[in-house]
Amino acid sequence: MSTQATEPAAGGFAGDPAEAFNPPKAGGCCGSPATGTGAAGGQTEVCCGTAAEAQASGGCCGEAAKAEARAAEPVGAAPGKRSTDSGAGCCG
Amino acid sequence: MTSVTGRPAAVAAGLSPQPAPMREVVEELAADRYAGRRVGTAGGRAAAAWLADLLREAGARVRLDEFPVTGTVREVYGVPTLSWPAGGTHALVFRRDFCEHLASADLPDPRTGRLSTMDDADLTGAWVLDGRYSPRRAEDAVTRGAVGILVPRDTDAAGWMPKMIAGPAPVALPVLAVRTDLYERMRTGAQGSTVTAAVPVRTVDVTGVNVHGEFRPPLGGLTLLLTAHFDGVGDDPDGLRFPAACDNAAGVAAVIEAARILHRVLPDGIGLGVALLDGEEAGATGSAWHAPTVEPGTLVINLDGAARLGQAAAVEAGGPAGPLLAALDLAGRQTGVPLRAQAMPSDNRRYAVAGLPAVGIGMGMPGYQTPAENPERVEDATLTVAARLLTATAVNLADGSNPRRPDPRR
Repeated sequence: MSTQATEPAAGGFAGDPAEAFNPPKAGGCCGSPATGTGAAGGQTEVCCGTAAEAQASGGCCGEAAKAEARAAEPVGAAPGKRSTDSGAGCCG
Repeated sequence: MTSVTGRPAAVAAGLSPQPAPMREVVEELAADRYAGRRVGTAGGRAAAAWLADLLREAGARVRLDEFPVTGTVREVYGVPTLSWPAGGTHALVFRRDFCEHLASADLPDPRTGRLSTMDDADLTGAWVLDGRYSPRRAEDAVTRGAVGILVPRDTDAAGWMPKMIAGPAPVALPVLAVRTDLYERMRTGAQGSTVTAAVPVRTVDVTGVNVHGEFRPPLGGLTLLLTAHFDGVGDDPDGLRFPAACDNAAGVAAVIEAARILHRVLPDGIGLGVALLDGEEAGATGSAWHAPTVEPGTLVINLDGAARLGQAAAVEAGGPAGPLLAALDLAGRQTGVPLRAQAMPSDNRRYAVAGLPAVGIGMGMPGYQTPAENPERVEDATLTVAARLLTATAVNLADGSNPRRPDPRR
């Protein structure tokens, strides 16, 4: 499909692309970008943790935040039903 | 100087992303009639229906998929109020001077109390200023008889407090976030004066709807899934608008434009689908619903934010995404788009957790989740390079002409 032209470019990763598997920690929840320290009044810093923590916990966020969110999980969720498993907070 | 082998076939074929149709998508989704597109609202459903029609017109087979969102969405159902007569300002401005904290209990009617701090021996009847808020400290404040909590919060450069609709679990007291300088004035020398506040906020259970467009059915070989969320945080009850043009009408626009092009240039046998996701602002619930149903091996590219590229596009990879990441890297070099490893806590994580190769790409959200996040903040140039980057990545994958060896551990 492609031609085999060679052309200069300044794009792509400057370093090792594999760093994208473990990028620096985000300050935001799922659904928010890194908003910076304190910008959200402590609402989001706890939510996600690092990408690696999120992966390890099997969700969008780190395990500690996930546990906190689930502490307030509504009871009575339909068993066996595919769930968004969102917890009471931002953490799935 | 870096040499790059290969050019995106779409470019070779003269098919470049056009800003005009992408601009139309952004303008449409940001329109008043969709009311900020919060999951589970009439505006959100109307946006989904409009997008479904658009995908059909583009040649996709379209399916709407509803899903439950329970215990997650925090809804401000009235306008919170805060007054502090001793500070010289009786009525402070919602989302400028203060806003709801997502962990707040519902307080529909105004409650008056003196200002205090956690260091005070007696918190009975007090609004407590607490710069080190945590659920445990909130529990302590409840035990000690406080009536509410005030925490400091910064604003963005334009003086807004960005709105969010999902966050930490609610506590037993009303909690308001107060602009940091105002909070400091309250804390230094103003203790003992009174504040009066109301925080009408509740948790609502709603139904979301994902919009799926299948442009090319999976035939057992390479299958690509382009995703972007279309939901926003929704307008406020007083009519304050949250157009959500950058986060993420822009991403939706670029994904649709890329799919239109790829539908024409990809070789036969390659699957191509688009998932326009609901509920991302509510904990990525739409992708959480969808991801477990996706065919294993499907390559997922999620775009969240395509309004202002800045110095580089943010990229996070998850799952067995080595080849996908390498194709993206090559596409970045082909199209001149710099890439930077940066956390993208978005729908891509749901697909990665489901075991799918997934990358999340972000290209800027000026005015993030404020009334200033309007279509004028979305750059045509960024829309164009976003669609071009997606297109080139997909074509590179189809080519298999990737010069970088994927990491076999990924």
